[in-house]
Amino acid sequence: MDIVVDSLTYTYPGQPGPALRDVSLEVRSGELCCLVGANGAGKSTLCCAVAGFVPHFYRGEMYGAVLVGGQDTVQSTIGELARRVGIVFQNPFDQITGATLTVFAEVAFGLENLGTPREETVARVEGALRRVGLWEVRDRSPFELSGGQQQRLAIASVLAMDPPVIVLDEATSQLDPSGTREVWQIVANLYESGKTLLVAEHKMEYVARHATKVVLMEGGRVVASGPPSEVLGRDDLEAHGVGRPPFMSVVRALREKGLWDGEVPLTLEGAAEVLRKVSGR
Amino acid sequence: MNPRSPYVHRPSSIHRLNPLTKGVLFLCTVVIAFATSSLTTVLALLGAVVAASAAARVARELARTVAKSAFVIVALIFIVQGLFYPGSRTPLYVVGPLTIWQEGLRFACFTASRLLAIIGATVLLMLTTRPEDLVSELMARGLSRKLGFVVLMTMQIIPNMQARAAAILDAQRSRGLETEGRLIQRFRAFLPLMGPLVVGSIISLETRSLAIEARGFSSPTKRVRIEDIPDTRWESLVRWGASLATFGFVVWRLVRWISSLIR
Repeated sequence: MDIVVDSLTYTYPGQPGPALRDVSLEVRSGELCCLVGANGAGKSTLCCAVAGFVPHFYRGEMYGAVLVGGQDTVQSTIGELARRVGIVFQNPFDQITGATLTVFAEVAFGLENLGTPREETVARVEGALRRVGLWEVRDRSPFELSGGQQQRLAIASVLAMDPPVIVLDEATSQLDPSGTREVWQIVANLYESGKTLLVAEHKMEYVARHATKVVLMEGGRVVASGPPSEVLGRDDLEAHGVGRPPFMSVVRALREKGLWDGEVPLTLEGAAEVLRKVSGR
Repeated sequence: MNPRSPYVHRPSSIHRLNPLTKGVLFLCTVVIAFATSSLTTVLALLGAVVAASAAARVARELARTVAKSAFVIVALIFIVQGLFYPGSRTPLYVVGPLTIWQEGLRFACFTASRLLAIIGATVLLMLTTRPEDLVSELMARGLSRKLGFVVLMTMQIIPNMQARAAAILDAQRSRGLETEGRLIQRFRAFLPLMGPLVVGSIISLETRSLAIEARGFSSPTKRVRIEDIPDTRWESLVRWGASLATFGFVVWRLVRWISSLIR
């Protein structure tokens, strides 16, 4: 299912200026699109717009359109959109509903709300929990899990509802390195299975490695969008508040010195290969 | 289970009761305790609460919690009513200038027992019933999703804010904020705590409602639970019986009260 954002301008209620200014964007079905940019660039607002929270939850003033699978989000209700778009937020703890006693029941919550038949719910919850590696802790309380586990729980809760589009709004920013790695493994796995993914992310080494498309935002506008090598290869990337992965900077420095004239790799392994070639080993 | 809830898991028949049964019995206890004016009735209620707590194997926890929350006020009731109950005629002891009256002590006994019965029933319900189960059962019987959530969130907001406040205090202290000492010092420490506490709580609540919406909370479909909480005909009978008896008792008390007015 594809996402089309068409000249979207949006202002939160009570705010003097718009949070998004004339944003246009297309994410094709099965793509893994990463939103990058400094804090306040509008990444989270854009994520909320795709999930329909802008404007349904926040109200405010909205111009332009957001289409998910060809359907206008303004015409749909949040309840309908929940079947099409799953969203995961930053703070793992705050996403626990507080209405359930076990990890299993927490993941089942969404399906219960949608009125899914019991047997199907049980099967889908098991599938989602196995996929994020939480099946073993299914009887524990959601509050007893670690931050990384809680974030995987939030992902599983969304996965169980099996939406074709999944949005992650800085889902790793409060996690430690191993938690981040686990979440990105799941994201890569979802991409493999054909989901359409929109991921706002600050940790650029993951963006470089996994994204099929990168959208650079600043001040509520889209500055650039394209394949990761193109956007992360821009000379003015740092000026827009985005740090390049260190290994890319190293290879770029080699290129400036005339020691390397090939591509700048998007992975650490690729950069190591370049260094091996440059140093002649 | 939320680790901050007072619920204590024990293998007992009281724990296994349907949460609705416990909720109804709790309400009946409170209503009767308020409606009655007889010491015997109140003592019987208190006895029932204690017996139920023993059957639920939480008597010790109940005693500890009730003692902690009610000790001061019960002591105050005895002192104030024992010494100053209006219309007292029978002195029991005379200690210097103070006289302890029999009527006052009797009234203090009644008020304190009534209070203990109500607090005891509340604590017993909380010790043996998970609020999530109670709300889930109520929602399955027609309570609106939104109202159910308001109830749950309200119960969680105090412990959540306590945890948040502790974290903020630690953070401020580590940056050199003085939080102990004289009153004025403590008051100064209060302001940098309130800002982040209130703002943080609002943000957290917003995220939670978004997360719940993302899981189809507003979906118009009827909720289907993965598991029903067991319920028996016998329990249903107890619920109806207790409700009718309580209703009858209240009506009887009202009739007596009105007829005493007419006379």
